[in-house]
Amino acid sequence: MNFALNRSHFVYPLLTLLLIIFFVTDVCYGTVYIPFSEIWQIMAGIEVSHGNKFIILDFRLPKALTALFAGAALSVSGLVMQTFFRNALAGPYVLGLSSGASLGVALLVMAGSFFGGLLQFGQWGIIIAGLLGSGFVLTMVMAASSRITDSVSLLIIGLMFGSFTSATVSLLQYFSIPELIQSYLFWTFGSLSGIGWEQLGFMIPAVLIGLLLSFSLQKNLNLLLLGENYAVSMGLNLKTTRILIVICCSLLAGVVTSFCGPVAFLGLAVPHLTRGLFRTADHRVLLPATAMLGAALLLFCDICTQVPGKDITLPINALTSLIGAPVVIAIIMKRNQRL
Amino acid sequence: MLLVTKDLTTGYSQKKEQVIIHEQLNISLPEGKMVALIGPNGSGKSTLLRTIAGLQKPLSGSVLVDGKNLFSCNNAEKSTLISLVLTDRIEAGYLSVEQVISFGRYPYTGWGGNLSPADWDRIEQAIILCHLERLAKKPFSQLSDGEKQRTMIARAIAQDTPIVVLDEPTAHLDLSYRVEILSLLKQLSRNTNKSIVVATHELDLAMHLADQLWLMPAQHQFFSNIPEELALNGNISDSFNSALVQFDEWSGTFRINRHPTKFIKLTGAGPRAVWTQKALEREGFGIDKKSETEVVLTEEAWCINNETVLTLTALISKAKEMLNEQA
Amino acid sequence: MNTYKTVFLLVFLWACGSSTKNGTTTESTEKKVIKPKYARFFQLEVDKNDTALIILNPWKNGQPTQRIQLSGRSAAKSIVPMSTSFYGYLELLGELDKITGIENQDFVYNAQILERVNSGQIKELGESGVISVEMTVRMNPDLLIISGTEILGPNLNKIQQAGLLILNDMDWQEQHPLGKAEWIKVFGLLLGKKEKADSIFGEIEHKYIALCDTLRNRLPEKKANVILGYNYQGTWFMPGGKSYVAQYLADAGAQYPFNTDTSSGSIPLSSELVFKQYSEYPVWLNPGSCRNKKDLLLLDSRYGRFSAFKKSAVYNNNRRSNVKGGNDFWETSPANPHLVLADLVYIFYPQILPDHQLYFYQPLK
Repeated sequence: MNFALNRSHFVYPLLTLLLIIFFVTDVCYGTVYIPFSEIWQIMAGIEVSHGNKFIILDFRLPKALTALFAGAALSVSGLVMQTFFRNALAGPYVLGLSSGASLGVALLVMAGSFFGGLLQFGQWGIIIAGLLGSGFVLTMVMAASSRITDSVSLLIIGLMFGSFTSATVSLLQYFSIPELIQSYLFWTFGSLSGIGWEQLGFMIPAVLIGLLLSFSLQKNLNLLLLGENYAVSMGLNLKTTRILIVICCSLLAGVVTSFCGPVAFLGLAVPHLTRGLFRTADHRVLLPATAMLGAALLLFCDICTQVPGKDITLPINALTSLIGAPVVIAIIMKRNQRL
Repeated sequence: MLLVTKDLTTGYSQKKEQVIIHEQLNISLPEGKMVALIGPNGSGKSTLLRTIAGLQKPLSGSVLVDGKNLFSCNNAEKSTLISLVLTDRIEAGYLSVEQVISFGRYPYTGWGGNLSPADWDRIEQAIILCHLERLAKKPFSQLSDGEKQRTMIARAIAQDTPIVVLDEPTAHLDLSYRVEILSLLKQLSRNTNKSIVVATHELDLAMHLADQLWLMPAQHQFFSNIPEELALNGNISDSFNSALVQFDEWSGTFRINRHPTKFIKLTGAGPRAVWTQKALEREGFGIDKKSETEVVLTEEAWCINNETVLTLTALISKAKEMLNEQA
Repeated sequence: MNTYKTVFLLVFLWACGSSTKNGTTTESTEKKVIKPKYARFFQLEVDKNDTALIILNPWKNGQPTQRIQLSGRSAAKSIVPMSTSFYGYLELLGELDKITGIENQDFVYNAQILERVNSGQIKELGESGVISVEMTVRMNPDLLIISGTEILGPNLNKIQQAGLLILNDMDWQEQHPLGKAEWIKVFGLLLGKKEKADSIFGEIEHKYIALCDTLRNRLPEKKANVILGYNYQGTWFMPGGKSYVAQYLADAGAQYPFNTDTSSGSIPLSSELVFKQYSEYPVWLNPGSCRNKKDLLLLDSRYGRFSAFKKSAVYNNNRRSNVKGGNDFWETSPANPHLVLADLVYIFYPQILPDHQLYFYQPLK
């Protein structure tokens, strides 16, 4: 009956399989060679060597879980933003969300110095800071979008918000002591490997709530496909929807960014890949599919950060950009062709 | 289900000032009829339309749908009363025609947007009513403009509201589509007993098809009646006549005001006479019984001052020749 | 909307309840604190059965920032020095062969270490910010030493979580050359060579002070004026008045224009100012990475107008350096201040040490 749903019978299992394969590979493959049999033993609770146990359970496993949830979160937030702003190039970075989160985290870190301890607020503080920061920027962008109809202008506004927050952070650095700057600097590189189990205990629930929230918005997002006017005429409560979208995207993109730093291109590229794969605009299909594809893709990128044969680890942003940039270019070319 | 306005004043607030466009309107929209909202740009058509559709609050007065105040309903309730067809451009990548139409059922679905068999019935009805059977599974983006417009109308039909409001549905469409759309709307109002309000510039078509015209020649002016009454009352002429254009009460069309300096007497009847007159008038000649230059229609040719020509084009050049000589 | 509100409230309450708490420290009353003679950022805590090494935080007024239990700890047998500046200490203690990992071999001068890297006995783990967690954890060194900071960064944090000991070496923050050198005692404590470290330091201290005394007695009336540094994109960095470099200069009897300045880092001066006011100074030290006068002129032809240049009194501390950018000055001078001092005294007042051969410094020809 529905072409997309038919396709999804076939593609969903494939995606699930891919996800599992990538997850397992990410855990098994790293700088240090650990044989699969040993990994199996470690997971089963048998300790073979302390070093390897640490590597698998406290380094690779959290990293893989981070990639899984962060990939899903960033991609879904990109999808929601693209639908709401009716802009194929919307995404957490372009619309300044990442910068907002970074501003929140920077303010927290530097304000933390006034209260004596760097870890005064702990993980909870980082979440709040990232949430508030990205929520703030997204709200500003939404306010701007109600006045601006031209989609390119909106993107530029998002980029300007991004620049503004980055500049504010730079300024803050001048008034801050070196260690805080150092700490902030580490964060800006973007990394999946710095997350520990304690932090995952916060990040995973936040992402799950964000994802559930986004799924609950599937009908509203479908309505928005025809534009705000039509959506309202079909019963959409625009105000409530806007607020929920802000919360949802802040939870997804804001929290992930405050923990992992800015991770490029995922939110922008994955929704397009999903649409192309499933050939649908229906969010009942797109939301879960984007989450899965995003998770799989980030896991794949994480696997690729390990250059085979060499001991170097590439930064994750390099890989997401390598894959993401061509996708974005392809999108733009394709859109202009149709016109 | 009736839509009735009570002392409706439309307008908007601008920097603490209120700009009134229309005051104290008391109009009603009958069931099962098509109403055309006609008026030049800037006369407040859009504002009235948006107010009736529940999108913009009036400055004072109320809009009642079946006795209920439209503006005290929330969006969900409104969506079961009024559906819209707008000029907004739809970027519906990957959406099929059927899917676009199915959106019309959303006011009746749960949070997940899942459609019941009853919903699908309505959708299929809408498809049939708008003659979209062939196109149902096609991607929306591949349709022609006329087909897209029909799809949006089908969506509004699927929404199953007693009132459908359309804003310039024929803008940007070819002539054949324009006729098609307005006829379709008329048909729908009859078949589904819905009240349909169409804002349009197509005065000709509206006068032919609409059951009622809401005429807004300018701000603060409003006339509501059947088209023919408005024509006879002179409302149409008053609203649209200008130095360039005049409403011809005989034909029900607009004629361009010409100021001919040379006159020709035309003898003949039937369509050939009509078109000959049109050609001559276009070339700047006036028709006058008392003129010395006479064109007589013969069975297959024209005779101008006893000279015979075989085509209209030849007639025109001959007429020019002759009358220029005289001058 | 109401369901959303409830959910939000629940999440909020849950999160409030599980925020992390800071650890608290307890203090016993019977502790004896042994402070080093010149170094300011480490000390020993001796308790009834307990000895601990305390590293102090230079950015928080010397508050303790790391506590390493010494009693019951066996000597480290595998070391990863994350900076070349630690090689000097290890060399003096004869512990170079215990090195199993370094950042990378770029900028390394020590031939033995380079050779062991090439033969695979020493692994390159990557710079501090991007150190390979897996390789380091697998290697499991007994001691990892970094140039101390407040923030370890995510990778080092992970490594610490795995249970590895990371020493926050603060010698680079010491303002006195002997304070820097005294950190050899820290290495001695962790490597099981306390006595040897103490004795070596004693010798170095003795030589250093002897030289200072000699100088004081025979200081000529006219003190040598000296400038340091070079022009970089319009800024000329000179050592601050409270930096260890300024201390060296003072101990070597030189007249340094910024010896009253209060910063312990560098002073960013405008190059214009330096060109204008200080180009007449007779001695010029540390002009970047130049090895001869030609290099200097290539960088900026205006350097040729400096008095020190014209009188061939420009000296750089790269006499012992290699083509890969490794410079022994950075590797061994922290542990051997007496060698640096001798060089400086020779540069300023050659008549006081007529037989001295320059070690770290070379004149630019």
